[in-house]
Amino acid sequence: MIELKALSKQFGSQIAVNDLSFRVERGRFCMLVGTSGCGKSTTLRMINRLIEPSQGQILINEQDVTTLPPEQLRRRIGYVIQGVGLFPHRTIHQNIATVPRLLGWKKADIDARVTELLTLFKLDATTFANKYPHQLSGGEQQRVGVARALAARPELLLMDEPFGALDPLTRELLQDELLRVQKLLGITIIMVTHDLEEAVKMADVIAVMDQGELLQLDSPETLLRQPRAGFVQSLVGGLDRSLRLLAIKQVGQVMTPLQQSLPPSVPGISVSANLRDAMALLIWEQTDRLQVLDANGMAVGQLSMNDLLLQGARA
Amino acid sequence: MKFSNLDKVGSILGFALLLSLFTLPFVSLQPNRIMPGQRLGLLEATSFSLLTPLLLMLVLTSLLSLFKKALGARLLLTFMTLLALIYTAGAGATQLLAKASPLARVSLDAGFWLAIFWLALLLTDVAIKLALRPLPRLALVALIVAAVMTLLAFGHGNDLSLLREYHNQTDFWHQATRHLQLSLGSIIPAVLVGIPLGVRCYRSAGLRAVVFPVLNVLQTIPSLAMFGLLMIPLSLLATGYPLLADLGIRGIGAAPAVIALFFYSLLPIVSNTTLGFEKIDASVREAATGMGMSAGQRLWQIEFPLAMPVILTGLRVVVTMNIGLVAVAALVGGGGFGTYIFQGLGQTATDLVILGAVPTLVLAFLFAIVIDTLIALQKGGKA
Repeated sequence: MIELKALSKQFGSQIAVNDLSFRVERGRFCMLVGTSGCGKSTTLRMINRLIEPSQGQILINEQDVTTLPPEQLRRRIGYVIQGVGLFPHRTIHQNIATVPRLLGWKKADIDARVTELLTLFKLDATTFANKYPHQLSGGEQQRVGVARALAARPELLLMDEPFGALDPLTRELLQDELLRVQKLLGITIIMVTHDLEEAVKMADVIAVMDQGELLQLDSPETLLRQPRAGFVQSLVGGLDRSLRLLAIKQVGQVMTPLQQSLPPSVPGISVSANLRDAMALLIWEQTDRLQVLDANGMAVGQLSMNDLLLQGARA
Repeated sequence: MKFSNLDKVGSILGFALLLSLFTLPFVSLQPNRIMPGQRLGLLEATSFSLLTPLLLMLVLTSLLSLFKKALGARLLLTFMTLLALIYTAGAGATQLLAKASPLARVSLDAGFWLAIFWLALLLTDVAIKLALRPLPRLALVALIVAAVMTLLAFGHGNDLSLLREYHNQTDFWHQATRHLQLSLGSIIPAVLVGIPLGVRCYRSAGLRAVVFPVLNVLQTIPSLAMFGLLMIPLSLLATGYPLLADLGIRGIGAAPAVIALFFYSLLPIVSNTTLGFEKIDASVREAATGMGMSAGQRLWQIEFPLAMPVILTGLRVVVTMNIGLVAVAALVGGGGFGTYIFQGLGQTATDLVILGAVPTLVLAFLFAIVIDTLIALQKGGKA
């Protein structure tokens, strides 16, 4: 879907991005991870041509991005930044309608799209549409920020540390919502973060960058189990990587289907919870097995301490 | 009576109003236009029958001003008191002159002017407490000005020395137009040059480093010196190119005035435009560009609307300053209300000075109110 070919960027004598190549398939969630100044933001901003590369090429759907005028290119790519950047003098409705208006959509289509997006992000359209950004909480503002980026139905969404300024609770809530929306719409997302936990939780593929170079591009699980020596190793190789591995998988993926019903004293856990939460519950309840409950609260499987130990163990 | 209902500001203003009217001279009866006269208090200046309605209204206004209640009634009553005060001064003058020599004049004295001042503050105070929205507030000011003008137009007050001076001047409205022309003639070009220059200064630190010091120095030149400095090159130009002189560009007259006022007006407009642009959140700019706005779209749809309240604040400073400065332009033959001020000073005719000063003040005040309304309407969108 999107392909970066031998991409480099120099600011004066300083090399920000050096010979970067990778490909992200349609509908995947790609995280660019690295310390600040590693070139991840520069890479992201080269995709929508806020920064022009010194060398190399970027293809979206096999089309070179430089074949379009930058404004037209950007109207087809969603863009979300940490500072949100909602326009303070415009209502939420007008903010979300920005790109459709630039594209000359009909008013009725715009109105319908704004309502659809507000509903998608669980914001009541009638109360929020006519509010101004300063009347919203930080989490609500960033929801609107993402809704605004999705307004013209882009296939690609670029996000630069979108949840970095939010409190941990709100951040987690918005991460879950973004994953839900991404699955629903099937869009491709490239997100920049310095938070490994966020990357492992959300990404299909993680690109680890350091000093302008791509060091490793792998799925979260492979990255955690087989990090390359050096920077990647030091980034992901901490003692808690077993717990991070548990956090990737859901209870439903590893449970044993139920043969006979368990006594009600066995603690229950949701089928969609991650294994890390299951482990936490086991420790808390001082037990060695859990019964797995589906969305309706019916017991559908069981999970033992041993299952969990295997999942978090080195390969 | 609950203490919490006591209106501190209103009480003080009401008390000051009564104090000014009953302890300071209200009018002075002069033997002629120039000689100082006999200063009369409100009670000595008018007959009891004429005074009764005004006294009643004054007492009621002061009483109502004690409390934070019945604000609508208080607004109406304060407004009526203002009109009654002007009417009583005019009618009192007629009574006084009936018994005096034909050359005698009745001038308004400190008590009257201070009372007008306190009443204006009382009106402002009520308007603030009523939390009037911008447009109704503007309408209220228009109504008050129109009512006072109507009262004067019907000849109530023609026996006051100030209005005698007005009727002696055949060119009052010509000078008023002239004053406006000089003002707008310098402000409009300053806006047309200043705003684009301010935007450029925002974008280029190099340009800012040149422009701001120059404008700052211009601002510090005293106005008289500036007029003087401009007279020399302009008269040289006019002598060298008679065509320019025919167009009105000469060492004296409107040309040096407009050019000087233009320079004075530039700094607040340029600096506020730059400041307004600087105050815009960087993430707002990045979002605008990142979503595919062209530079022009970003400028007109995002940057200008967001910078506008700050730019308008600069314009407000310029307009009030400029209208005041135009008065000085009369010295280089520019015309305007300043003409009366300097004539009056020359003839030691205080009322002629006031005839120049009060309209200047009113004009500056009205412009400021209009711009305040524009600023409030701009901000209203965001509240």
